[in-house]
Amino acid sequence: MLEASTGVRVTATEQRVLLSVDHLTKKYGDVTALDDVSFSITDGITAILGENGAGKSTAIKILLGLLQPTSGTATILGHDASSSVETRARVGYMPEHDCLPSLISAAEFLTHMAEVSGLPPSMARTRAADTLRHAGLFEERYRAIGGYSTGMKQRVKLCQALVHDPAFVFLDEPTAGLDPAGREEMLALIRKTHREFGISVLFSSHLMADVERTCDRIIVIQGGHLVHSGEVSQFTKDTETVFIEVDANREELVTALRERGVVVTPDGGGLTIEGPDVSVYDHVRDALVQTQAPLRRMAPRRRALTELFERGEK
Amino acid sequence: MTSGTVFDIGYQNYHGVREGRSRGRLAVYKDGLRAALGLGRGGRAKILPWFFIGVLSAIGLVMALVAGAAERLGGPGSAERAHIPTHSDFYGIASIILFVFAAVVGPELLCRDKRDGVINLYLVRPLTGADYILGRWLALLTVMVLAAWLPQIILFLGLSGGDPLPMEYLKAHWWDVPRFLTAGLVMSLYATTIALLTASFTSRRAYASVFLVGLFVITTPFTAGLAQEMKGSAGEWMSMFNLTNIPVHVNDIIFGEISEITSEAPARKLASWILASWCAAWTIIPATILWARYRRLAP
Amino acid sequence: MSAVPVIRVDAVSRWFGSVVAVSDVSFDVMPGITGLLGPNGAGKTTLLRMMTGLAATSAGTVTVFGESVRDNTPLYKRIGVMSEHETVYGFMKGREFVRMMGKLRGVENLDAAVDKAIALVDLADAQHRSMQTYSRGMRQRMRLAGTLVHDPEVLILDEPLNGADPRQRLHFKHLLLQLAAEGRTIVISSHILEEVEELADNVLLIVNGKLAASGGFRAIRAALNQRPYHVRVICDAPRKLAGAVVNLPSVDAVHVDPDGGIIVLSRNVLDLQVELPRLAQKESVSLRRVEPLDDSLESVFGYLVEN
Repeated sequence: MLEASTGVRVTATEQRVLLSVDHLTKKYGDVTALDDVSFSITDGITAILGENGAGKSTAIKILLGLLQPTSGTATILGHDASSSVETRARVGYMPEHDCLPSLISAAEFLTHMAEVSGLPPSMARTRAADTLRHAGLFEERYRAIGGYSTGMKQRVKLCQALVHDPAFVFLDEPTAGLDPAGREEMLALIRKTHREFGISVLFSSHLMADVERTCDRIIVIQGGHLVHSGEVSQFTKDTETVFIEVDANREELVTALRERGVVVTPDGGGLTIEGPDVSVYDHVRDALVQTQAPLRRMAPRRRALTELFERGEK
Repeated sequence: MTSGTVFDIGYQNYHGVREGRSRGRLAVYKDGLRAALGLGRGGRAKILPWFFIGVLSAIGLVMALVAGAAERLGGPGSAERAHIPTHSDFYGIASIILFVFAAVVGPELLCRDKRDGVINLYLVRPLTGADYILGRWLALLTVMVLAAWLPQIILFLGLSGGDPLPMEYLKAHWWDVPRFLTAGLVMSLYATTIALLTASFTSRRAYASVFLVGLFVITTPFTAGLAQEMKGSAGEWMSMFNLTNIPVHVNDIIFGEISEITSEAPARKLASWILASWCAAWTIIPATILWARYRRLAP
Repeated sequence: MSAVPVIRVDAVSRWFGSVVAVSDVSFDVMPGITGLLGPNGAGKTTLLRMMTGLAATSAGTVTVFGESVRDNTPLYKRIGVMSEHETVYGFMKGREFVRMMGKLRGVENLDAAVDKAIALVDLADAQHRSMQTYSRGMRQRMRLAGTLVHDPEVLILDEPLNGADPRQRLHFKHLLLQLAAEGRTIVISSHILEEVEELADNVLLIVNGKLAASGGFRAIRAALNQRPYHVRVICDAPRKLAGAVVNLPSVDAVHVDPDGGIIVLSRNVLDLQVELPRLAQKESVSLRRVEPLDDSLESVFGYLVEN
């Protein structure tokens, strides 16, 4: 299953169920935080989305064994989440808020966390050093964490979730507060975690762009109910419409296209063209040449994940 | 062409041993020891704990030197005749310092984790709240016991070494050793538990430390004064609330003689079993509350 | 094109001892939405504080509506400010908070203004609850209502969407567009470049305390002419098209991807935009997809910050 010689992990594509939630309900007195929610998570990178408020954080806390459900079950790697403390040795968690000590070095802290997860001291030390190296922290790891930048601290937070080689990790808003460069680094690290380290990821996020770029599947919880669950590609499938943007001569282009019998609709800054018929592309090309309209973009229109939420808006 | 190899330094899965909760508890204990003594945490973190250990050790050393000087000046046995403080008096004298030490070091073990949010990382690992507090408690106890025993050991070595006939001294006084070890343990159990219980209520070390110092240092003269004023058995019971003296009475029981500090306390007149149970209660009840607080911890 | 800027920042610098947070920055802000971008620690927050009069400049001046903004109480009534981190009194009810903000600004017809502000952020249902029961996104929205209660002409928002979920983000986007359409001047600082790209007409990019770029991001991209544009082309005969395209003087290089796409690097993208269809037609190649890879705000930002 593993090819170690090239440094790139090749994992079997068996879809084992990492965690699952079955008719999960959680009530606090009159308030229902989760109402009969069921879903399961397999290998890959999954995003869990939803409005701020009880739903998704409650589900995550129950999965981490930190809350008891009112009814229903939550299982991690086949074990009941609330009863088994030992399963937590195979789970990693990166909290959203600050959780790092300031006086200790990253190396010592990570070694300690690895030991707490059950690794013997010498192995813990080696794993700590290796994990920090894979996350891009080199000499800095011997300095006290208090002096790190936000980006470095986020990486240490991720490292402590990975140091004990978990089967999967929960990341709670991993890109919150990071500037664009930091966000990109963190997302790259998340992709690396799955593709190179072979560790599945479940992360919660509010940023659709992050989710689209990184995840295979998404789960949406709203008002305590499961609203969507499926492949990201399902929601961002290319449609059969082609979207064109030109920098000039738009009107002439529209006319030229209509003369060729192409159905054209102005759409924001560009044009939308219907029809899966491949001959359409050549008509477009010829019309562009004829009108000398500079072509900025031509691509099938993709649905964006944000459209999932847009339906409620207008 | 000679052969060459490219080694894989990419991510490797871990297939080694996973030792379960016992390793976790040990790790929390080790980390607690290091936190209490300021190891691996920069120079500033070491100042206070080692200062206190130094002061306590110095007291032991000074007591040994003074006793040695008295023996030399006045002949053998003059130290006892002059009522120079010895093992049985040490904990009475040093109690305030020991409690302030616990007040300063104890919060270091619990408050920082809460404040920084590290406690959340512990809770999602194969470690229960009870495991965590047990590890921390044992760590503080270890350090307190170190601080309580070291000066007594120094004193013992000083007294026996300074005696013209060390072997005679040892034969006559070896019984002191198990006594001070036990008394030191009682002091440490008491101080550790109260310090940690207080620290468990707040995430700010300063609040916990100030509260504890106030509890021991400020209430002491207050209750002592009140006890003196109230005569009879009311005074004795009032004196029982002198928190600094509670374990020192047990020290007196162990050594079979009233020490310097408690010689004025009305409570000394109470029966041994009352004093011992009282100290046990003030240790076991806080311990139970502390354990209960951490058992069901959630982030 | 109106010539009078709403906000004018003129040769402004700010230092704290030997640390120069903002260095000789000058720009004008016109009505509409302007994005303020930059890496963490670049000086954005300091600059925003100087623009709102909360902080003094070490050198240079900031004027709003032609008047100096520092210690100018009447002017504050026309400006609404929402800073990144603000502790909100948890015990207060949402409505009370907005009322307080209104009172501080001397708003007349206070209750009507409060109603309107709360309706704008769609929190009418929650206004009578105390703010500590709100989720983070709701707190942000109520703070925004507090910023809008005095109907300011100028809005300065520092990371207003911290913690907001996708639905709230969409709602906020529509709200901002509506406010801008009413003629207001809005400056918004954010790290989420995709959103700024959709909202802002102009951007200001601050790097290490200096103004690295300003204007429309497409124009900024065009000005970065030492960076070739990367354009991905998918067609039915990639190597044939690549062979034709590489002859163009405006093309620096052509990559052929294993998946069959080609990537064209060009410093004169306008030329490429016209020539590409022409060459495709000439070679009888059918174009399926043409996508610029680095003319987004994010790419522009990346290039500018790298230097």
